[in-house]
Amino acid sequence: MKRAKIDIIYDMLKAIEEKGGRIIPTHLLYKSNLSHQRMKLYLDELMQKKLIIEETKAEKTIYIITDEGRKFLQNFKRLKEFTQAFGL
Amino acid sequence: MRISNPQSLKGIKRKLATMIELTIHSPAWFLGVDASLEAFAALIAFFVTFASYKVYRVSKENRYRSFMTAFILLTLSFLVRAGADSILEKIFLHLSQGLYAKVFFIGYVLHIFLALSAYLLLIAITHKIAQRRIIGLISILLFVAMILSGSYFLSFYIISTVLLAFVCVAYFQNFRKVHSQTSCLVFIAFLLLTLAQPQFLLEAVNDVWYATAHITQALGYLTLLITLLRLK
Repeated sequence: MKRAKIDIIYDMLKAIEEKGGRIIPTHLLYKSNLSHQRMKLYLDELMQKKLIIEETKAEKTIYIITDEGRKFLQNFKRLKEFTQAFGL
Repeated sequence: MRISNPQSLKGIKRKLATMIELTIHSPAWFLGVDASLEAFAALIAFFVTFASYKVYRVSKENRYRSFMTAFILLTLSFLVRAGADSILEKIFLHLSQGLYAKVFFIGYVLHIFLALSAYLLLIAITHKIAQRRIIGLISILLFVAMILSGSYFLSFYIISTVLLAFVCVAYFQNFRKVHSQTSCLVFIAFLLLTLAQPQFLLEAVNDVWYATAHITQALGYLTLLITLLRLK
């Protein structure tokens, strides 16, 4: 079944959180089950929403979950229950 | 449109006033309570709007925006109706017949228009009708039928019963799929809202139905509030 955008965002943030709050793009690509192009789009959006930040060290890019991102993960269950209850 | 003859303008106003039946079939003890219950419905609809806005802010998906819009329309619809009812019931003795008709017409027709638009949107969301042309077609048929109707109230409550019954079916199917307490509450809420509509139709037979309809409707919104509180 096609995942909703909100589910993809949750899966990505959860993947980062499970890796101790920091993840490299390859691992995120594998964990979030997305194409590289789509993952890039979602990453841009997550950064725009300040749910994650991008850090480059020694030419290696890593994505770090922010406090906002952690808060989102906590609130997600509630949002999901809301959408399920109203059949959205 | 410019109407040069003031007599014809008066004629149109009189006709409109007759079409919406310038009476509130309410028991005396219920006057004022109805406006409060409508304001209560508006408040709960606003809470649902706010909850759906929080989901929309994160996802930016159209279905959440449509759901939010449906509840904004319901909020406005009940606010307008509550405003019109409280004006008419509290100060109607001091109003001229023309002004009374104007408040009644603007308040009630706006309430009908906003509520029907909200129910249509809910049909589109719950039955996942993605084609705008279909929604447009239903809207045109519905509003033309309303405008040409001899009694706005009669048409409004019959159409509302049908639309809400369809929403109700979708929520029952959702409950069977999800099997959660909150989805059951949403189904019960919409079932109560649906059951309130035919009771409004019966108000012309006995004014007690006007009170029971409002109470059933308020119970529906109360169930929605309980659902929201359980999701907190």
